[in-house]
Amino acid sequence: MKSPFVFTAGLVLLLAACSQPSEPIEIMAEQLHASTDRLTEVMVHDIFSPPVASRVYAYPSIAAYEIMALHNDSYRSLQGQVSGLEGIPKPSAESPVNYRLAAVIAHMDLGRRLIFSEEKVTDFRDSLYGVWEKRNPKEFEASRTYGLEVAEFIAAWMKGDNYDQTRTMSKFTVDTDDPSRWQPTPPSYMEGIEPHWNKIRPFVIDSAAQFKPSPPPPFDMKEGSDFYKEVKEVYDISNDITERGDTSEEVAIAQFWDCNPYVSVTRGHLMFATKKISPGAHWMGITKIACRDTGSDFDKTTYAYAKAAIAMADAFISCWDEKYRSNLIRPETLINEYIDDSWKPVLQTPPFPEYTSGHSVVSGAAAVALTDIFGEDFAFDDDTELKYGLPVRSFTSFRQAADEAAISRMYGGIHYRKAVEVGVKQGRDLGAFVIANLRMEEKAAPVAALSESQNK
Amino acid sequence: MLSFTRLAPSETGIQFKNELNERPELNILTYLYYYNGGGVIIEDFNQDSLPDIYLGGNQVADALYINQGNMKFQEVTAQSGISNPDGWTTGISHVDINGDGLQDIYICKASGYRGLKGRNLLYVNIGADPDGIPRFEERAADYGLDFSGLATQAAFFDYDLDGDLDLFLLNHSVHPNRNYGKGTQRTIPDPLSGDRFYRNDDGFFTDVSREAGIFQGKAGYGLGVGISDLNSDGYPDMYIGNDFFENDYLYINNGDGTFRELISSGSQEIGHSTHFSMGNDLADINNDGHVDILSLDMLPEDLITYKTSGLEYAYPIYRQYLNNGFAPQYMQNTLQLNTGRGSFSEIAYLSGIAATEWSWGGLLADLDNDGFKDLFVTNGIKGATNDMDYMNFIANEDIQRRIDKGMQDADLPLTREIPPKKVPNYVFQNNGDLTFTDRTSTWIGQEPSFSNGSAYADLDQDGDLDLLVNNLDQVASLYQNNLETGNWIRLTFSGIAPNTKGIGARVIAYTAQGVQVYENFTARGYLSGVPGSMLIGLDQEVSLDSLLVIWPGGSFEKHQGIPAGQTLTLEQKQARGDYYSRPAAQNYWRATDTLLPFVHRENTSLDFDREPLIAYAKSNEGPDISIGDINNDGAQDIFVSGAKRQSAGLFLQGPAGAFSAAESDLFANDAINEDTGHLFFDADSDGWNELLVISGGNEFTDGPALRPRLYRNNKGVLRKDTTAFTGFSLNASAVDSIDMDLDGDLDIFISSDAVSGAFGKTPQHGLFQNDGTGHFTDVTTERIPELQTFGGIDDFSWADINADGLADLVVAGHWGPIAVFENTGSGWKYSADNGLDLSNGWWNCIEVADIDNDGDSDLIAGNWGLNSKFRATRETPLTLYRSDFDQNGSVEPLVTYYHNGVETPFASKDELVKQMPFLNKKHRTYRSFANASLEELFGADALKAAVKKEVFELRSCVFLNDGKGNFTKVPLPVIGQASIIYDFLCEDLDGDGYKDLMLIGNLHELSTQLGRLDAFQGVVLRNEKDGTFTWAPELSPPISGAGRVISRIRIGDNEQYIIGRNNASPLFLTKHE
Repeated sequence: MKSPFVFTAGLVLLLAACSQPSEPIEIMAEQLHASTDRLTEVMVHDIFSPPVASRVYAYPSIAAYEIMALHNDSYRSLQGQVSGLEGIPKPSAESPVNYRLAAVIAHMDLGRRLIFSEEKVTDFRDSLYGVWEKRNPKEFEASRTYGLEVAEFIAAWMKGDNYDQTRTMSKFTVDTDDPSRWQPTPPSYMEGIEPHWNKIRPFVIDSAAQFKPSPPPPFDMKEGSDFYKEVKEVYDISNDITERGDTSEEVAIAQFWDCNPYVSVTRGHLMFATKKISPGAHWMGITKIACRDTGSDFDKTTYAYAKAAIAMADAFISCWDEKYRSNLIRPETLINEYIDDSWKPVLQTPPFPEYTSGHSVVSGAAAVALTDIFGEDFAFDDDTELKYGLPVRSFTSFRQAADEAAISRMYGGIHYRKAVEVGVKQGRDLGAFVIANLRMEEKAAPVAALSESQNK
Repeated sequence: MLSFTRLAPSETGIQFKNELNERPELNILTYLYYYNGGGVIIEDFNQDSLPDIYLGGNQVADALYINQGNMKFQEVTAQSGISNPDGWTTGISHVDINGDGLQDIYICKASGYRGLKGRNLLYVNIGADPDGIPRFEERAADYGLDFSGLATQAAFFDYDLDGDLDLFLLNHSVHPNRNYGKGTQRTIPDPLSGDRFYRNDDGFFTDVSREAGIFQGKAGYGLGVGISDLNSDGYPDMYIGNDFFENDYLYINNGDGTFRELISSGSQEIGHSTHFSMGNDLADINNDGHVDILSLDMLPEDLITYKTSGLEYAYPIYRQYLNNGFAPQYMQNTLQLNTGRGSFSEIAYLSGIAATEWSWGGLLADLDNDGFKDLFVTNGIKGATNDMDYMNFIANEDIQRRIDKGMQDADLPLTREIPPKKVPNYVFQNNGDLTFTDRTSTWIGQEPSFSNGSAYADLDQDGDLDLLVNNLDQVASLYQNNLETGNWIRLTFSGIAPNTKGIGARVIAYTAQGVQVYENFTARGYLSGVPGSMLIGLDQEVSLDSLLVIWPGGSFEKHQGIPAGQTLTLEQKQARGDYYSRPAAQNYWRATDTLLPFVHRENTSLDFDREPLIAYAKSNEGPDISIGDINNDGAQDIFVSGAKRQSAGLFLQGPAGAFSAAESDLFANDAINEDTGHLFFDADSDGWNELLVISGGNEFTDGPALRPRLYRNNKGVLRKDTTAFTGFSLNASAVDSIDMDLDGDLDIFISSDAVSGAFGKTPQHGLFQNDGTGHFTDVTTERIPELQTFGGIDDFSWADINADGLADLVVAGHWGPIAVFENTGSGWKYSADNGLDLSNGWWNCIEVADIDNDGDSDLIAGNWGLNSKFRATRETPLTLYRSDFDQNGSVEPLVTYYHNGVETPFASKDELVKQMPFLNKKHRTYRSFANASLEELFGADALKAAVKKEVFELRSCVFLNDGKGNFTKVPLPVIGQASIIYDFLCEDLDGDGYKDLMLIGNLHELSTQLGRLDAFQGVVLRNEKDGTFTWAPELSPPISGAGRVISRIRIGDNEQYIIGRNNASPLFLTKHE
């Protein structure tokens, strides 16, 4: 009779030789940060306009969130809470799906569909796939199958948001006879981007016009009119701060929050694009900082991204609705025409109408969403722009950051005061509506989610 | 064996190489014209009758070479006293500055920028030493010519005809080149880069720019200057080429010390110019005695280069640019054909010379001595800064930050990442019929280079012109001419001092090839100059019949029977009289545009906002003009259509032939309609003309704005019949009456050319039967069942085509053939196999007339013409694919054309990806997009599934009838293809019993990738009695603008013609008594 010991040892050896490895695949919050960062990088390369970029963040974030919420009772599905979303498919009970892994896979796959340079996502994805497959092929395979199934489901929902249809709609018509209407601006004179963005299906707000702001002061270039004063204020502030040079706080603020995905630069005979992140990308970056600072686990991170992305996507729809309604001319055009033909704003004027300020609306909305998750007076150091050669800036709250983002547009010489003040309010009102109407956290759930380290 | 031999530097002794030495403070990223190269001049500096050579270097010293004969040259720069190692030489000129008969050298320097120092230099020739080496002294300051700034090129000529040579100094801006601002900034002088005009006051040059009326703004990126007496009034005019957004300047000499600039004045005399203007040359290309203007640009012939390069702004943005005070200009070479009436027809595409890559210098010279001037082009750029992939994807953050921090030596490789375009120069042979044939591969070969300045001269004195080219980073090229050339006569000039070379003399040679005109202006091409002597090509003629030389100031002299193969020296002191005191020949036509108080005001074309992929707008179709008697007073009245939001106008002719507006309120009610056609006809047979008005214009999709309007005539008073044509709306193109059922009343046919907002979609037409009281019933389907699937119809005509006594229907439209629907007695049936089947075109109009006087009905059809990048044949058609390529529920109209045998989408990548983002997925970079085939881009299945329409013929043509309804196609002559044709006047104008043709056309609202079709300035074609036509300039009236229609009208006792023009007032023509 053989020794049981020997037998057992033999079995272990046998298993080790014939069966696949089965270490559990651990997915941390960093995985989602990496996938979101990758989306940002590809969007910078591919050149996505700010409103389109906000859509690119929203759908992958929601896909990841829905998978996560299906498995974590502390969170509620967005089914029935955002327009047109139905319950995502569920994996079969016996399938060894790692829901966090599936969430990341769905996130990456939707991202891949939404950007142009797919190889930049697939290279990233395939190297991760390789690691996961080695670790636990069964779990990986099940999670991938499921993650892709959910991605497909979300993509089908996404297809109904009117994005494809708006591609063929008419361009924005520049009316050069009406002096109050927006005109393309130097140096690229790009046509007005996304004039039909208000026809994109919103997520939470009931229509693009729900947070229609009060109109801007009536156009009037007579000295002393309210409107003229606004134009003159931009000019005066700009002169004042540029005189003080690049080290002035206002110039630093303007540059920090530029967030213009396509700035056209001329050097000698050469013209090229300086490509930066969009306002949405900046706030996704702040979301990452907040998650890291709080040690948020994967699930909470997923929640934070989804909520911020939804608020921002709706903010862009609301803002763009107003932009092409009021159709207001940019300060650069008016100042060059009426005051100083050699004046140039500190920032390059982006290619769409002035009112309201997109960055203000979006920052207002994003700050409300993040405050809802991480609380008031959440102080943080914002290093999002380090990669783009800009310094770290510190803020005492999301609200303060949003206010600074808003006023930066005036320092930058690309917005009047009204567009900034009304814009940030428009964003806050919209943000408040979004958080009031989204029940994502199960309030009955026990206290706060565990941090990643505790979870181990 | 190439016809030009490129001689080795070791043979010629010319080792000059314009080599660049990039430094952190000076390179293409700091000085925008760093790659623009240097010039070359050729002239005899040592009085041995052999042309010598001076080559300019940017960062190397200039070099002077003395011609030792037999293509051997000796460098004598230092021996001759020229010490010019510093600074940046641009253009070079030769001139006898002091009237001593010796040729001096004036050198332009770019200075005052980025460490570039120095000033322009004047090397005065003090005579050759015993070894034949000319000696020079630098004396610019003594003459007031020591300008310091960003100089490009100098042109010396006598602008005030006072006997001495004055100077236009072309300078260039370094202002950021994309911020175009307002056009009016050209009036604000800029000391560093503004152009200058200097008057020669007894040997000292005085800056008279302001008095002369020269623009001196910071936006003048001057790269080309050409001098010529363009209007043949004895006073030299100037053409200035400006790079980037600033207009070119066409300065007409007023003869009083001032110039008037035509292009910025909004003049219609010149339609459009080069956008990124480089060098130019002014010479007569068609031997009609009028000097034409060639200006070069940077349009690539290579399709991949084109599709990866920055293009013009899209139409809506371009419109804003024009509104800021700029004139239309497009990225293409332009050839402005001088009509001799003060206007120009731009025909570079028609001529086949529009695209020669990134081009610098163009020289018009008769290289093969066949009597027509050929074209040599230098080109190539060391770094194509308009490469879209470089701008968007390669110039990454890191590169940019390093540039911004201030470049270091280690950063210089950055500039080498800008894609170079090292390409062969071009040479074209003049075919003598306004067109040129590319002879590069057989004449000079396809050797790539970066070539800038160039000049021609008979360097080896064998009776043909050789070419010298200044290259970047490569030894200058000397091309020896070994063509089997024709006979020649060489002319040299002996002028009265101080203009000893007779600069400005005009030579008219009467040869078998026509009237050859030469002008002795030496600054030509780019930064360069040719000798002040001439070679006249005689082809196979053994002698020159006669030659007239007209000297500056007008004295002239005639020479006759000059045997070929000799040099003739023309002497100003032999000349007598004043050539310009002769009375000008009287024009055949008198034109006025003030007879009718009406100006057609077109609203902004939104076609390209709505359908960015299309090639041309369909919304600028009017006005039509109808002539008829509305009040039965025997005088002809006029009805002219209004554009959208403009009332149409009815004008009654009074007894004195004056016109007064009538029924204004009635037409104001329907101002919203863009009217496209109308008809006076007696609908109810009561003896009074009704008025039927149709509307279209691609602005509305449905409703009353597209409904035909019938105005009933109650004894001279019009009233709208609101019951007529209810429920019927179409984008109408043409209307006419026909008694189709021979019941004695007039029935109506209305054609349609478009479905609004759906480019190329097949529209429906309407044939309406009259019940005798002017009530109409749609009988299209019963009577012409095949018509509703035929396609768009822009014009039609009822005529008996097959001589059976019944009226057939002839139609013309876009994407379909000219077609005849034969009258069967009970309806109309499409007539196949009649010679018209494959005539698919972009047809706009059709006339029926007996062209060859054989008693049957021939067809004259107006088409798109050949003055655009499009060519179409059966094998290489223009194609429209209508399909929902991105499956988003709306159809994209994809238009393709063939470029050198390759089918390619017309719309740019930027426009296509906005409509179909999936293209960006597959082809994010411009290079990937450019290299993809049509199938790779859109998918073979999707293309197959698309509704497909084709064009095989773009020429306007006559179709001759054999009497039985079979047709033979005869294209109109080359000039007839210079623009789009919307209408013809078909009448015998010269009284020979055969009908001649006056062409009416032009269309300005095209995709900016096409430019404008604006070359018709009034063209009459004479009937040669055999079915062919030739251009008759002497019968051609001055017609500017976008003509749409011509009608004959009797005003008082005068026969006149009225021409309806889009966005302009109607023009009236009368023949001179």
